[in-house]
Amino acid sequence: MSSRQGFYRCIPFMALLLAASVAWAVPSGSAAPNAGTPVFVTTAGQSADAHAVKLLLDRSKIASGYDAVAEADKISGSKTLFLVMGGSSKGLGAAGMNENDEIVRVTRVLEKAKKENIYIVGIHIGGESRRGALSAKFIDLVAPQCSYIIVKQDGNKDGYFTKLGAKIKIPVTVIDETLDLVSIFKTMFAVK
Amino acid sequence: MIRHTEEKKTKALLSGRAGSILVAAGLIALFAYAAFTFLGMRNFEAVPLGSGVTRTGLLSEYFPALKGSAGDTEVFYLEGSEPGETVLCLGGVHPNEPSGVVAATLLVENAQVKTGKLIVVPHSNASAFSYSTPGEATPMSFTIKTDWGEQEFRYGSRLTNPIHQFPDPDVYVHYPSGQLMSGNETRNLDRSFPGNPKGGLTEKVAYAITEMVKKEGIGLVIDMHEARLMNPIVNCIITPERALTLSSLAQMDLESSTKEPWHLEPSPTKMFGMTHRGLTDATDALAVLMETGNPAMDYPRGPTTEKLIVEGKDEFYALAASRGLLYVPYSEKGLPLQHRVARQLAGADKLIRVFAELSETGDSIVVEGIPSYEDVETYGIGHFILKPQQER
Repeated sequence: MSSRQGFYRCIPFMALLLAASVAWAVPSGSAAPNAGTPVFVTTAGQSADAHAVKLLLDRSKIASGYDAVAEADKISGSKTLFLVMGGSSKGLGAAGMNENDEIVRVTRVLEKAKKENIYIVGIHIGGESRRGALSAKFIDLVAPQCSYIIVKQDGNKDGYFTKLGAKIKIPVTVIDETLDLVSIFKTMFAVK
Repeated sequence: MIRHTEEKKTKALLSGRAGSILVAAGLIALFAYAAFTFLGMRNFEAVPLGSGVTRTGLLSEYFPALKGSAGDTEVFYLEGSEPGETVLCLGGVHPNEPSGVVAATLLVENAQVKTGKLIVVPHSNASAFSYSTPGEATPMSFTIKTDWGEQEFRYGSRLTNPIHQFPDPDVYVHYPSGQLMSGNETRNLDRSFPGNPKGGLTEKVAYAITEMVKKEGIGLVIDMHEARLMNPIVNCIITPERALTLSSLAQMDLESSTKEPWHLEPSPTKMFGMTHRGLTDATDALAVLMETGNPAMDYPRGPTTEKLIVEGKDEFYALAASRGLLYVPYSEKGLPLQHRVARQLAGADKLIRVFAELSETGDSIVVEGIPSYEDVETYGIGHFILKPQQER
């Protein structure tokens, strides 16, 4: 049995565990994550983490579009927007833009999502290395605009995301590792 | 009276001359020792051949102009009984980043290829192994305790030895992009890809490696590096767009299996010269670069000693970590070389496995025997280092 087959076989068990963790992480009184498809994935800061999120959506058989440098018009028609937060100077260079260009692009995407009532999910899976000064600009821009946040535990050591979630009354799920997203996605989109 | 004074003068002169001679002799001895030690760095450790090595060669076989130069270096081939994909692992592109050098050495000594071919170059910039960085007071070598004794590894410099490539231009113009960089980057192998057959020694080495990738039909290049702890580009896989799926799958699996942070960094498309960019653009290969955190590379540190390189402990890093200034987890255990080599080997192993899974046949390259992350952490690097049988 290959490690990948083993992974797939573990999915039901992981789904159960993570469903429990989602329920635990949702602040009392707030609604459980309510998201529909199609999903659109883009970055906020040009880290490569957004591509990993897209791969996991594909693995979970959840319809999704992906464009690291998507402009606002591209998210039209989506029910859910995944904004994967994390600044990368190499990524910005790869995209041929600077941080100000990226802030302007993400702001336009957020405005469009709000205008079209698209459910905004903020995802942070880059850990400590995506909590520096560059990343902070994108996190501060995106996180307060989200309806739901998923963060990997090593990116939330200071409790930034969970405190923000409590403050603006949105659910926040803390995961141990990136692969935990599969179960979260299946729960969010009711995929078996 | 006059005679007495002259005698005193003569004595003083003689005594002064004797002193001068003594000082001169001392200096000559010191210079001789320094020269002997310095020249000794040109002979670095031979890599013992593991049973998986099917042949060895030289980099100059791919670019004969390199033959006999300080840039020529040994290439190790580990071939399976079944044909398949070919993977290249590079160590020592920067010889002051030892986890890549040691990991490459352990691949040569331990890996067994069943299908396909693994090519390993542990000392990619051989010239840069021949001296330590001027002004940095770094040790010239470090020692690893093994099951049979001690093995010394050369600790070189980031750049090609200026004795072998001199002088640096005021501005380095990368070939063929024309990108401008600071002059000393002309001796940085990781700013020289895809190389230039008519360039300086470093560009020639890069050119030879690019030729090797083309001629061997290499599908995946894994370049093993280390980075500063205060640099966000650490504990990561730097990946070009073509390798994003490969790297993403490997990164997630590695994070899950090692319980360690791993993240991806995109390879900038307009920043030229690095292996991941230069080889990806110039060949059909997917070229990725892994970075572990090396406590001997950043500046908030105490003396740069062998102990720091091997054990990775430094009180100033501990302080920096407590203030949230580092981009890697740093506990009282430090960041030992053992841990960094374990990461490199786990990364190489996972990248090769995912590369094979993504291929059409699914088993295009099968490599066994790479020391696992858990085993290197449990038994140490030394457990996997072979005893040199003879000078080669």
